[in-house]
Amino acid sequence: MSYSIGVDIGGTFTDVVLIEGSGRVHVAKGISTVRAYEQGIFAMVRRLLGKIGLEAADCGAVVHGTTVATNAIIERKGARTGLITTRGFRDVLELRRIRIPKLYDLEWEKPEPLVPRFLRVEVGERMTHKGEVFSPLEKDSVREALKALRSHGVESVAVSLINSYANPAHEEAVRDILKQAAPELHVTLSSEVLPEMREYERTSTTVINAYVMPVVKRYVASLEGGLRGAGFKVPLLLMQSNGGTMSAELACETPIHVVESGPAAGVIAAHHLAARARIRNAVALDIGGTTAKASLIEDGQVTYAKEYEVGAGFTRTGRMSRGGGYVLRAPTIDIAEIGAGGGSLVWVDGGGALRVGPKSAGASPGPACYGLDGTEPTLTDACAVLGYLDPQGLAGGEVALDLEKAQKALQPVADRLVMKIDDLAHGVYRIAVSNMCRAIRAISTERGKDPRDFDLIAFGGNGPLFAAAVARELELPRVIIPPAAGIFSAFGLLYSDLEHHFTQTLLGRLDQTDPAHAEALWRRLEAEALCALEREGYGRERAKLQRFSELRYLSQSHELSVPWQPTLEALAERFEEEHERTYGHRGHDGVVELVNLHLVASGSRDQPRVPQALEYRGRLSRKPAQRKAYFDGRWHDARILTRDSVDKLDGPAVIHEFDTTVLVPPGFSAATDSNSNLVLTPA
Amino acid sequence: MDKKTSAAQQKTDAVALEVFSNALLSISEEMGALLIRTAYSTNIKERHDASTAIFDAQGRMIAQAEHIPMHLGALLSAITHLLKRYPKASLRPGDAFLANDAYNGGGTHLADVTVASPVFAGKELIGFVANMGHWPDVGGIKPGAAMTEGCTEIYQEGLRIPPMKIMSAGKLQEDLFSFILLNMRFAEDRPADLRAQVATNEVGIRRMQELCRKYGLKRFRELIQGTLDYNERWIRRRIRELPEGSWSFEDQLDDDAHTPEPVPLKVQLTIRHKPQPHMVFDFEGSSPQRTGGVNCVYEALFATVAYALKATLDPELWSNAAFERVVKIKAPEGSIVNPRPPAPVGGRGTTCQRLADLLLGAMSKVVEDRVTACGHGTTTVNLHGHDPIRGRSYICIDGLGGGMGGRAGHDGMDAVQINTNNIPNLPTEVLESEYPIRIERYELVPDSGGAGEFRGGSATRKDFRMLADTGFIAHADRHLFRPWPLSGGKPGALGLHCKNSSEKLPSKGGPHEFNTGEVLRCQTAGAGGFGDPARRSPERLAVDLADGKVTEQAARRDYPPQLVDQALALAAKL
Repeated sequence: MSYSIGVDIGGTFTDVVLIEGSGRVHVAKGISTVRAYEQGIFAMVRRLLGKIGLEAADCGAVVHGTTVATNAIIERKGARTGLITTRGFRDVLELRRIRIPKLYDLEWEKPEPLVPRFLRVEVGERMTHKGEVFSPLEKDSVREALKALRSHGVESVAVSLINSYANPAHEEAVRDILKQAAPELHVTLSSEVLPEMREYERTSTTVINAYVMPVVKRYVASLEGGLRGAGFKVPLLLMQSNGGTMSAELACETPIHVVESGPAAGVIAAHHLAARARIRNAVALDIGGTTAKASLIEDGQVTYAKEYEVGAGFTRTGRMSRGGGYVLRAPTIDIAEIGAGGGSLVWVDGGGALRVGPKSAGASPGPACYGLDGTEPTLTDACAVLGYLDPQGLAGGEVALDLEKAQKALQPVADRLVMKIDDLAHGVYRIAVSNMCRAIRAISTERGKDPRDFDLIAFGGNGPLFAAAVARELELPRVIIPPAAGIFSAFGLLYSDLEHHFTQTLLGRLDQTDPAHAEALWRRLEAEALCALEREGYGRERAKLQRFSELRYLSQSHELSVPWQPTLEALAERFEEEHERTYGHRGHDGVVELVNLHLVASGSRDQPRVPQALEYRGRLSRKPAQRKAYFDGRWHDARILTRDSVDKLDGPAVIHEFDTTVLVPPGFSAATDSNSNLVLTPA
Repeated sequence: MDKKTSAAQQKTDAVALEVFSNALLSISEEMGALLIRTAYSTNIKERHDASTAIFDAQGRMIAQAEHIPMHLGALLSAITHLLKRYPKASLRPGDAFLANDAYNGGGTHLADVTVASPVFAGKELIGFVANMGHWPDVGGIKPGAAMTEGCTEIYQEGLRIPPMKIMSAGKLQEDLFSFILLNMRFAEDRPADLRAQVATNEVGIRRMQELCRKYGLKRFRELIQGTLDYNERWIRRRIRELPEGSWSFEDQLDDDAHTPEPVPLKVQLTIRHKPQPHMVFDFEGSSPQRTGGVNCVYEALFATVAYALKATLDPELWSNAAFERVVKIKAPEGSIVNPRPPAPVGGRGTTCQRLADLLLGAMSKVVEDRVTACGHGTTTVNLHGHDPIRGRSYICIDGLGGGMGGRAGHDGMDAVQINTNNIPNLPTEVLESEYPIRIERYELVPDSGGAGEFRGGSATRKDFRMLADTGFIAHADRHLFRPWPLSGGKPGALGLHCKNSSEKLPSKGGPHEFNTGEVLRCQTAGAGGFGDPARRSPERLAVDLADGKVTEQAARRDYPPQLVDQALALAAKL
């Protein structure tokens, strides 16, 4: 009997979900083995298989959401990497775009470049912006460069030459020389990873790819080897930042695509839930221990960003404050992240205002009420004081809950602000909600979308605790809480399809574009895509190719993505409609410029990996009861229930689950829908 | 206020204000993102030379997207000037006002064109939203006229526009707009920019209305008052932590773009705790106003003072009108920091950067470990001419990053924007695809950061090869006076403009004519170091040596021999 496994690694926990062909679901949760994640995975999978009595050989798919690439960047543990660039442009990587995100903060430091200056070497060559050779590649300078890099023990090399997006010939020639003289080197070309204009963004992306490539290769080799040794026969699939999966083998060549592997899975799970529940527009809100992550599903589609910054910290995603991290330009699910989670610390700022986060107590020392080593007040402590959390402990009693410790931690803050402790705790809760709302605003109002047109799908260990309050603040009409909300992301891994993105710059006025030339470029991209899918076992009949194009008005510099149309006139009109829809107006002269062709290639399966009806037995059973809980300025008698006993009820109520807690405030009612989701609506 | 009310008040403030101020900031950020994404001017879309802000019904600024500090000044009194010409009772929904004048429009130089719109909830005026975009040209004696030869009055810097109604009840005033466009070069894209600026305000208006509806008008007004009061309390609390006293600091600009002599700047800073904590900045002793465009109107001076306070008191302070309540600025009338019309102001940005140095210098005497040594200031390049390849006239504006001063505990950053300017560079590949210019070099300058326990940041150099006959107007400084160090460090290197690697050009002014094929080398200043070089860690020096940011020769000059030997040995192992 075939089954599928999803393995999701987070900062604190590793979640494993196993779904049998019959629809039976099994889950396991364990502390992540930070030093060697794969060891923890093997142990958990082996234990789970043993418990259920399944054979590794029968497994139909293993999909993995990994943080190995992100961690390598954030912790600066990537490969020793060199950069080869055009003479005169050695410092593009370090100069960045020269602006800084925190101008008033005189202590701010820009992140050190992933390739230090002494490992950045120049070669003689120059292309023009039209792709014409202005001065030919000096091959001796490449050999000199290689010699210098080898003397420093470089393991991986990024090649990024000026204007290579318009003609990759020189970069390809550099690679040929490197490969011939030093076949052991890992080489990444900017014209392959990102053939797009803007040298800093392209170089940064290329360097990231080179920097994490050896790390990802080693990790994948170890994980795949281990799985094969344990009897697994299927190839390992990795989750990409864009929500599609990719064979681990391909991920080793373009690891930039798996940098945001982890967070993407939750959005894919939400997308799947939305499709089944026939929800067109939804906000996916994933709240964990340190951050809240929000992403939009609009008109039935996940929303993507073309570029983001790795390691920019948990500050704002606001478009006005860029420059804090390593720019990575690769399709990713557009996720806004803000430092607001259960562990967020409570503090008072210089003006005497109450603040929550962005610093977090994390898993260690943890919130005070967990009774570990934490003494500083956190958001979770405030929730405990408000009566929202199960006094018998969390995760079925595995984590104890010490209410007194929570009160003790919060009391000094209450004293300082001359507030009663319950008012203070409620203030903390409200501020956290307002911070979480900023994450949602960043992907809705900042993009010109009205959040009131979206339902809220809330998950993650803390999502269901804040969902109703967030919905009320932003006037979202409904809240949907999936079953097993606390490990929902791991399900997302199993819902995702194989997907690749290919882009090619084709810059020029649309009315002067030669349709035959565009078609020839499309054909080339499609051949490349089919080849990649073929390697992953998807023949032409199961390949789905979608053409998108990025356009702007002539003289703008930010593009909008629209589906390619049969004629260029139709494409222009489609773009103008989209511009009006997004920004509220059309351009004044209607001259449209084509910038990029963007091909999305996916492989569809014969049958879904996850059966329609799931059977999940991970819930708590407990007799209904009552407890005092604080809402809107006073204490209420709230009903205390478990999920199984909810058919339809009015708040105030608290629903305890194994992996999360659902809050139904006064003024909200809750009901279970036909897909076992809890649906909260304002009365 | 009795104690009980006070406590209740504070409770509301602590929670409600945080939520409310988040909402205001979100609105201004959303406006800013929209403007950048839809504008046509290269300067707005690539270099983000634009700002957005929200005002209450009295015209007090209550939120600004944190973007370019200088622009706090560009928008600060926009509404005050608007209300002088158009009384509140005359304003209607759908109106929008255009202005750029530095003496009558609330602007700081003519290129910054502001569009402001009233916000109504029903019939009630609840506030204003405004945005400002730097237009590539507003007429005047030369393209992008600021600081050019023969430009001695603001009249020669471009068309002066007081607040004028450009949209009336949602309808564009074609007469006025065509008059404005006729007076500007490269005007073909300005209708698109104006459209983007108006649409940006429309989004701001909708969001303000939603916010007001949510809270109710009374509560909405209370909260606005609350954000100003809160920020005032916060600033005063920070001032109280500083010692009382009086300190002064002096510095100078290389020249004023016309007369080749230094322009002195001076400030006396006074901190008092009573009756309430406050600060006085007295600029007596600064140069009289000049005929070159380095003059700086009050709004720009104020923005610079607010920058220095936020940077040294608490970077988290909000950017709103509360700063006006706690700071007293004395600027002699007819001086470079408070000029009388028609003094030209086009190059005020360069002066503001020097004023920021001046203010940080004064603050260094109070809290040395919270400020940086002197940085590079600013280097902005204006290149213009006719492009024979594309068959059109063009103006290309680019800026370079330079050194940030060394600071207690950290080296100054290399190659960044500092102080009140935070405009990104123009990517080489974008520049080459739009203008007849080839960039031949864009790199760090070795030995430009001043030595110290914490080194000053490095300068950058960019070489422009002209592929058509081109005029160059310079906006830079610190080509004559090196960026000063702090606490025993050494000064940073000077900046440089050079034609064909031999002919030196001044830091300001022009246009200097370049023939096709000639090269402009443009190099920023470095920055001063912080602390005694002998105390520098060998590890840091080793990295500098390996990276070539410091040459062995310079290291031997600035650091003790045994430290250099130790660093060289470490560098070999990196």
